[in-house]
Amino acid sequence: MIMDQVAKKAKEERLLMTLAGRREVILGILIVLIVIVMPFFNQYFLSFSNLGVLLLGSTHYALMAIGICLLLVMGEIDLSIGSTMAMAGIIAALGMKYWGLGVPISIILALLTAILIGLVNGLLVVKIGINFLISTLATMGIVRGLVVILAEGGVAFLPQSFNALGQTKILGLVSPVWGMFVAVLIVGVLLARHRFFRQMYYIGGNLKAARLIGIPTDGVRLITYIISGFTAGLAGVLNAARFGSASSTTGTGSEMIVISATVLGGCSLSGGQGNMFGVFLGVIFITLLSNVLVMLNVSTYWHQPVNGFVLIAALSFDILMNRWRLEQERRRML
Amino acid sequence: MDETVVTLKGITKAFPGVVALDRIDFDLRVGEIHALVGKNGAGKSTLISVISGNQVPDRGEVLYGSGSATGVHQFPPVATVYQESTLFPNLSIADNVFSGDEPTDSLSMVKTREKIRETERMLALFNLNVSPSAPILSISPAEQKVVEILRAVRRNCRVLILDEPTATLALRESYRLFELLKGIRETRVGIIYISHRLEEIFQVADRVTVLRDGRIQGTNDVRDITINQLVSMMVGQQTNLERIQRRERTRSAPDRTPVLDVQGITHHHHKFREITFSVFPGEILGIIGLTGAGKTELARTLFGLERLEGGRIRLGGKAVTLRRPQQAIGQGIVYVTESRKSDGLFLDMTIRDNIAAPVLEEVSGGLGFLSTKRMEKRVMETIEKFDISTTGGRQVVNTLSGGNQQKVLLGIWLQLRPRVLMVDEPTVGIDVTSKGEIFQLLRRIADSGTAVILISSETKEVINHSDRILTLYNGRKTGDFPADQVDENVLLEYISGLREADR
Repeated sequence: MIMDQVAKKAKEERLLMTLAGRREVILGILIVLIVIVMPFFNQYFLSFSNLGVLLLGSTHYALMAIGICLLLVMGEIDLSIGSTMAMAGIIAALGMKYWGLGVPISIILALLTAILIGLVNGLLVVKIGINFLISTLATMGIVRGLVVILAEGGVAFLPQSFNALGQTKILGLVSPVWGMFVAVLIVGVLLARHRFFRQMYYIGGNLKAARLIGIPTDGVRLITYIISGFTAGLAGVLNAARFGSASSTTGTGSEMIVISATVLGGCSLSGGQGNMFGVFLGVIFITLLSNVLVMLNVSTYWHQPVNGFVLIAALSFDILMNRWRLEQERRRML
Repeated sequence: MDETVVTLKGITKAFPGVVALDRIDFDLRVGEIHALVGKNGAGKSTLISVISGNQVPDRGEVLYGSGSATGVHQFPPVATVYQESTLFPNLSIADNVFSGDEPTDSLSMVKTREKIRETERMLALFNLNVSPSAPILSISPAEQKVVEILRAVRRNCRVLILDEPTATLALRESYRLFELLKGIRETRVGIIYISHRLEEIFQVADRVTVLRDGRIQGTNDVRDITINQLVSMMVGQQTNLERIQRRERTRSAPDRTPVLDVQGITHHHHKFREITFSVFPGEILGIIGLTGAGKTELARTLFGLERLEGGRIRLGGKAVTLRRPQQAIGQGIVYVTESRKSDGLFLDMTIRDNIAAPVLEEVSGGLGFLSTKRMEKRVMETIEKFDISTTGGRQVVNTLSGGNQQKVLLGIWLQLRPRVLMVDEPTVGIDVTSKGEIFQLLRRIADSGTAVILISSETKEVINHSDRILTLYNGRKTGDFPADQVDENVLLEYISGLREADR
């Protein structure tokens, strides 16, 4: 009996420690804390419109984070997502406004362009073998340049039928927010359970072993870059519809915010770790943070430094926690 | 008496369960090349660590220089050149020779000209006619070894340990290295030369010391001893105990159609040449050879990782081409790597994820979603069958012991129900008990009808645990015999290139 109790207690302790080590749990607690405390400082915080704005503001980050999450699970990164997002918006806008293509065809063309960018990234990294940071850094510059060449400052006053895509309210929330929910949910389930997506964890865990064991590593990596391009393109199209215009500076610097959010959400740059749920919380947390700073009347100059501090704090906490846990485990062995 | 650079007197060093060195007396003279030979586990590495000051002996003393008693606590003037290169391949010879402590002026700027001049002088010492500013990549492997030696010598080392310097060199390259090594006599250095290739000792060394079971079996001038004497000193009298340990083999009626039949295959870089052999279902074929003999390349080629220049491979009577691992796996050939941590296991993932890795299709349902139930079933089967000690399928592989990790690795590959299982050095870094378990496991796998190829460099391991043995030396097959008709002595001669089966 006593043995049973000891075993039960040890099990509970272990569970508690694993929970405390899970990024989702920590992020969840922080988000809840903010939601509880903030209304004391600003009564508009909990208003439905503010929460709606908050979610809408995180939509394009969350969509791009899908691609980045998959890539980070494999230990790779795509820096060109911000440029791809701008490119997709511009192509859609040009198509419907100047090339006379009609709304649906323009959207398809925009998404195909985004997929093409992803394909090029994938071929450069996987087939030619250029380091992923360098090749996507290069395509980031190339695509951004092409966007400006194509559309200079951008394209405004897009057709109403297109804008509806980004401005229709369904059950109180704007359509892109629902799109984000659906996309995150679908990819989340796939990444957790589907055979094809699970292969990404093996590739990120040990590329050599994965190859030896017969996982088609090149194919999976290539397709993941294409997915990354596609989700960035989707973000670009929805963003253009939401504003009724496509700007050529859209998404500048967003790759860094997305990478911060995914890492905050539990992905590791060395690969093999992370899940969609954590990444989503990471995105929400980062946009929430900006929102809080706005609500507290903190100068926008402070947003980037605060993001930086949060990232460092989260990762340091993780590493220290892990060290502490290993030490505890070692002590128990003695 | 000759001037010595290091003298060992009565050195004894014990580890839990084993006396690694037992009252060792040893001396190394200035300008001599002193070969140190012995089987794996004879105590060579411990002796080396004592001489280089990494291990403090339990008894006895180490004296550096002539007679002057200096303790091991002082930094000893010893340098080791390892089997694997530690050079910076993109940098020049001079950069490498001076890596870490380049000559600088008062502004801490590197004095390049002095560096090059000094390197030139040292290269001349070894009759090496290359430019000091040539990058390491552009010189031959033997010359690279010399650069490593120069780097060590320049740091005022007095004792230089060469650990199997020729293991990664081709034969002609080795001769070149021996020629170059003669330059060492001009310096004030003594060399300890470790090698398993016995005949080269007679070409390069002045004296040879044989170690066995932690004891010195003798130190001789190479002119006063023959290779055969050397071999019997290394192996010693086989005790009756060892013979009893050899398992009684209950060989099932031999099924005379081979699963794998290899005819005269040659590696595209000639790491092995004209190899012919076959494996039968239910048997364990041991392939043994020294480092660089070509055994790992042979396995990697059969797994589609390296190219063939000639020869043909038949599997179950059908000719096959193996260009990618996927093809080999499809044909039922699998290869369990010797480096289980770097390219075998998914260390940060659970046992369950590891076991499921090669059979994701079989453990998933119609739409491609993985079924936890199916994965769990496979894992429990494997844990039970292989007797893996674990808290369950959700334990992360990293936290398992070496022996259990090796079992998981075998478990991964057996999911594919291979016809031919190649295992490369399966017991590296594993304790004695687990070693036994691994071999029992291999025997059970063979008994179930799989052909097992055991690749190893441990003579005893191969003799005790395989049915038939193939010996390789320098890329060539030197012998092929039933394991119970050969003893360690003979095997050692075959893998050192001293004997060869009639063709």
